[in-house]
Amino acid sequence: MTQKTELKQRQFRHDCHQNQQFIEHLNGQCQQLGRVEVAMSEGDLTEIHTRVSELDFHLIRYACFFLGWRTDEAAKHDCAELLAESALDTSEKGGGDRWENWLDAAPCWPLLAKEKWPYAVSKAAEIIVQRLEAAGVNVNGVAVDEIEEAVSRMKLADLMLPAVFERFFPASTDDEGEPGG
Amino acid sequence: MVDILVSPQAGMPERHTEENSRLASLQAIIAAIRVRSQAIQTGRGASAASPCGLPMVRVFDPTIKPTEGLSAERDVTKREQRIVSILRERGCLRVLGAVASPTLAAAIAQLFDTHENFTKAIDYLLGEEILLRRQEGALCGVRLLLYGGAGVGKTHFALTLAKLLDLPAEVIGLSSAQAAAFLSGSEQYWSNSQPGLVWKQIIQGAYANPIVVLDEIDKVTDKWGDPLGALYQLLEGHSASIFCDKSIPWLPIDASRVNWVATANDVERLHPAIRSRFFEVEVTSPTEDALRGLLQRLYSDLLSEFSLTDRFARELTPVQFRALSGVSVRDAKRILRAAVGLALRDESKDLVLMTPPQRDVGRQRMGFI
Repeated sequence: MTQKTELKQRQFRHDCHQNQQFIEHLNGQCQQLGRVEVAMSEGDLTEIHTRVSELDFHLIRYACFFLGWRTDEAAKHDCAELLAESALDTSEKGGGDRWENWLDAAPCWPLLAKEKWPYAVSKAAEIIVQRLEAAGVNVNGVAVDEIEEAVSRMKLADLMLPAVFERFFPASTDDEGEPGG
Repeated sequence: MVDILVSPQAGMPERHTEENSRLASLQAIIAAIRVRSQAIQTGRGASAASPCGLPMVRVFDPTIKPTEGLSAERDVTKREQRIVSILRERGCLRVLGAVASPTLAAAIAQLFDTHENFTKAIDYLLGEEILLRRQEGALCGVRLLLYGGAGVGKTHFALTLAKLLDLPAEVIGLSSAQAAAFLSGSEQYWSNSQPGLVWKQIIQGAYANPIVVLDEIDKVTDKWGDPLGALYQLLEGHSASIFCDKSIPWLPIDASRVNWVATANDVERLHPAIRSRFFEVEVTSPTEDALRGLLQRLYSDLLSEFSLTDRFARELTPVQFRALSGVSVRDAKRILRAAVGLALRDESKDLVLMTPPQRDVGRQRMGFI
């Protein structure tokens, strides 16, 4: 029996999808937001009121939720991948540059990395085991336990130079302990 | 017995010491899993209950980094990076095979049945085993020199021993080895510089205590350098523990656990300094009965190897034994193989043993039978 690919549709089960003209509705709402923006810049209160009343708040709330969710997912996925990459990296340079570039992309990423670290750690152990097995390495139960235990001790500070770490996670703003700890 | 490294690996950027050690520990665990897997996949260590149960020992210091070179050559830099990458990928731990135990002693004792003319060598190995058992150690650093007439089974003994001990073995025919580079690598300044056999066995292999067979050590030629030069260091425990391959001089590796078996016909041709480093055992020709047993085993092994046990008679006949009794074990093996090949071509069930021309006038030989 062939393995079936997991379909993406299951990620989109909101009421908004009940609308038959869903895509047209999304485009229309984007244009509507543009009109609100113009009305606000012109200070036209009547126009603002009209345009705002035409907004689908249900959809906007869902879009915000969806963006947040996908960003979270990206942070978990990328941190797990980068951690596994650092663990498996055998080059002299190490994986520090990749971490720095990733954290530097936008201010939200260091915060997300810190928040999603426990998930990234457990996913990274899975990725390491998968990569080793794909390379033909015999990874039995005890070896998996060894990897999981060692990965669970990893913190963000372990993966980059101290100066880089300080830049993204200044000690003064870190009231809740060590990021990734 | 496992000494997992806790210090940063060579070439890593500097980080906080404590944190650095966490990533280094994780990388060391992954490297050890790779090495154990290699040990299992090569068919050795399979007797262990689990691959993680294999004891491992440190064979180099992972904190040592390449010396800052002045060479601007891209090839040199690339080679250096490749070596560091190998060291990081494989880590500093290697499996310790042939752990002393009653099972290992029983395995070694099997040699009494198959190699009756090596009793003294077998006794020496069993003595080592029982001493090491008291320390919960493994068979390491054995230095055995087997000497005697040609074709009495010296190399065969060494290879059988490796098989029984579940250790990887490498045979170097020293009569054709051209230079010391074969054992200890070639100097860095050569464009084709590469590590020698010892470095490859320990660093690229899975075991800390492989067997290296130095075949015909008395026939070594020093035309292109002295191949035995490196042995002065490698056969002495302390200096072997800090052995540096010439192509990677910045990294001392622990080669003191390598087991060495040398074979020679004329031991008097060896330098006393080399001889003093070995436990010497004179190997005589097998007795008539032992020879018969040995010939039968060679024949049975040959039939099994080519799945011919149902095609030919399973036992050699008295006439065939007599024909083979005057030749060396090596020649007997060759004659049997040729006879089986010929019979297959002729679609015959009869083996025609073609003994070589008479070389020893003192012995009766049979030609075609």
